[in-house]
Amino acid sequence: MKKKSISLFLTGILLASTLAGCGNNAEKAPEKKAESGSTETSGQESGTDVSRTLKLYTHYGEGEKESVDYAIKKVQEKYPNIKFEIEAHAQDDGQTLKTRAATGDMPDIAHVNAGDVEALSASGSLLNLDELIKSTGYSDKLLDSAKDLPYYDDGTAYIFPDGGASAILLYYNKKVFEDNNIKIPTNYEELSEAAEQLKAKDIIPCSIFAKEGFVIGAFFDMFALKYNEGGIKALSEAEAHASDDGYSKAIDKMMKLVDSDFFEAGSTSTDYDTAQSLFTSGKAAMFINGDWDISSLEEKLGDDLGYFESYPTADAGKEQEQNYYAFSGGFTYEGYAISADTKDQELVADVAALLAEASVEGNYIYQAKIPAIMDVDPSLTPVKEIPALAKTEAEEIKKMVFKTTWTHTMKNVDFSTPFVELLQEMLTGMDADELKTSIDDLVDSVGGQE
Amino acid sequence: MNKMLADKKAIFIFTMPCLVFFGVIAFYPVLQTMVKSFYDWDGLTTGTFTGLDNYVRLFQDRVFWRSFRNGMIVAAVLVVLEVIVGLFLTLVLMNPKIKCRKFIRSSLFIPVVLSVTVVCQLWSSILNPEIGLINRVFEMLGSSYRQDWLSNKNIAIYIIAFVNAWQYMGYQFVIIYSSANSIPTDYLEAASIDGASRWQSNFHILIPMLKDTMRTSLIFAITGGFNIYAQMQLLTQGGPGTATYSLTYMTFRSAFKLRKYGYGCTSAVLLILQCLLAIGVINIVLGERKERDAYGKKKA
Repeated sequence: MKKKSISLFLTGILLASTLAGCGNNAEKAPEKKAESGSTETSGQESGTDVSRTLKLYTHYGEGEKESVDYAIKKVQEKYPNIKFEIEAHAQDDGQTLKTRAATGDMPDIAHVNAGDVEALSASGSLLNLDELIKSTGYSDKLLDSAKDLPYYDDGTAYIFPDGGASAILLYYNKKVFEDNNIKIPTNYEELSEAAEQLKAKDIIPCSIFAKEGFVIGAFFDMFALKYNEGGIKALSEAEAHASDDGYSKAIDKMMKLVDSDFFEAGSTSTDYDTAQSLFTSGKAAMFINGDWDISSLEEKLGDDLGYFESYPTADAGKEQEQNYYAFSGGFTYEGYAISADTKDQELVADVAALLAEASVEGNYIYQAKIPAIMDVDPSLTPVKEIPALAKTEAEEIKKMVFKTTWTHTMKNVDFSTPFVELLQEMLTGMDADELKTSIDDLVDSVGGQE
Repeated sequence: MNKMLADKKAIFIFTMPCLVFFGVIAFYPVLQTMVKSFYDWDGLTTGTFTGLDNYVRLFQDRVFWRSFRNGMIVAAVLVVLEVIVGLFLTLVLMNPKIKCRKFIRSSLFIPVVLSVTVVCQLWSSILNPEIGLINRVFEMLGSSYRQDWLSNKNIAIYIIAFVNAWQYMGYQFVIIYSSANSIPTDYLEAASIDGASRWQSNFHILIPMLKDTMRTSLIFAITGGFNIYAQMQLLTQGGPGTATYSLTYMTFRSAFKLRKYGYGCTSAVLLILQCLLAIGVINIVLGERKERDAYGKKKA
């Protein structure tokens, strides 16, 4: 009996202290470790008393974790009592998100791309941000060149963008060209000649990871853009045909290179790591990938890394007049979207806007991504040093013209999916005439579809 | 025990939870897939009933026929490399005169425990035309026979099938070998006394007695061939073009790339039917029904 009463007394004390501890925790302001240049918002601003846990579906791998954590910390400066339940974005073509939308379990805030938006907007799963993009002040922060970024093809704003423009570049290894006394090409004729000279030295002219569709789509655009700035986008919208004079010439040029072993053997089953290592080890002289690869490539090649200011695929003597700055790539439609079912939509929109803005900063600080859609606080310093070539490219990109699209963000998936398959077949034996006919058939059957 | 087995209520009570669980987990999704195959559906919005349209389109789709043909090719390769070679190895390794039998048995099973990703990465490196081991060996031998193993649309599917067989051959071998080992040695000893050679014993006693196991192995190999997906995704992503598509991969393409879930369900239904048909044919050919009838008569 005595033992029982003692244990009851002790349990009571333990329970009381636990509750008191909880109370103290709730009153405690979160620890703020502001990054250099960050401004701490005062507790008087709206938000301090808002308490809620939001489901956040975003890329949270090793590469992105620091940026996301930074963004969350910035949000919690304004909303200290808002917690996040982070769910790592699966690399599954948006399947998880679509399934969750179908079952009515959309996260409050999700990082989405054009492919996700195409499906989720049709089902009414995403909140229309037309008004909120302005009321949160996010549109005022965007640069003039990025003002249209929140708006999807249907004219509705679904995202607070946090990405930017990316160009597909044709990189080259300066040392390989110099050591073998080969002129760095500026037009198609010189490119063909350089390829022949490189092969004679047992060097692969260009490595490509054509296992991925977007790279091979970009390769097609490198030639097509010289005749039509719309490139593959114009084909997908049925505004052009492969049999058109310009495209026909582009395909002939492209096929001539492909047939003369411009790429490594087995390019359609080559992955990124293999293609990149062929290039950085000097086995290949050129390499196709997006500008996001500059850091990694410069780490391995240093000053030997270069990229073509304009794709060397124009006719000799017509370099300047054949769409000199037309590039594959462009602004990607990606950023934070909000579930149409979320409660207190204005609050969540403000949180998403803060997240997107802080993500741009976080990507700059932790991933050395030069902000392309808004200016960031100049006092912020990146953890990694930004490569010189990346800085050059960040200036060059302002001159680049992006009127085509990525194959993976193309709205017309009925066109993009078989188109990429056709391009893979082109690399493995399909001839130019067959390719033109097949693309024309595709344009006529599904081109221009929404 | 017999009393309980005769009690239909008891049977019902004991089997019901299992049947309900199986129905919810396995049967209902299959049924849903069949229903959705008659709809034009994007996976999110409400679908539109289109009757047999998806099926008509599917039979006119060259990707379907290529996928179907590839499934047959992979199944055939798996039957040869997993079942026939597995049986041959069993017969060889049952011979006590063969040395290092344990080592060979263990070696054959090692790939089975590896993850499919590891196996595909390994073979991807070995098959790489530029830096891969196989082409390097040909080069060292002075042979010009160097191939784009996974980028040649005529041979890539055979290579994928081989990689699958290489990984799972040990699994099939273990099933066949265990079954062969469980056959009483009296039969073989009696045959030996009667003057039968080792091969005669194998062909007239061992193989006929392995018929049930062979049936199971064949079902695994053939349905596994029709169902192949991971190796395609990891080695070629269905490429070059659509050269290495299987029905499973086509289902993935329709649902996740083209956002046509209804159409994807149609190819999934065809895959289910193909597997069921294969199982039916195997059972008819290997005489399960005949055996059951014979057993029933004997009991009567």
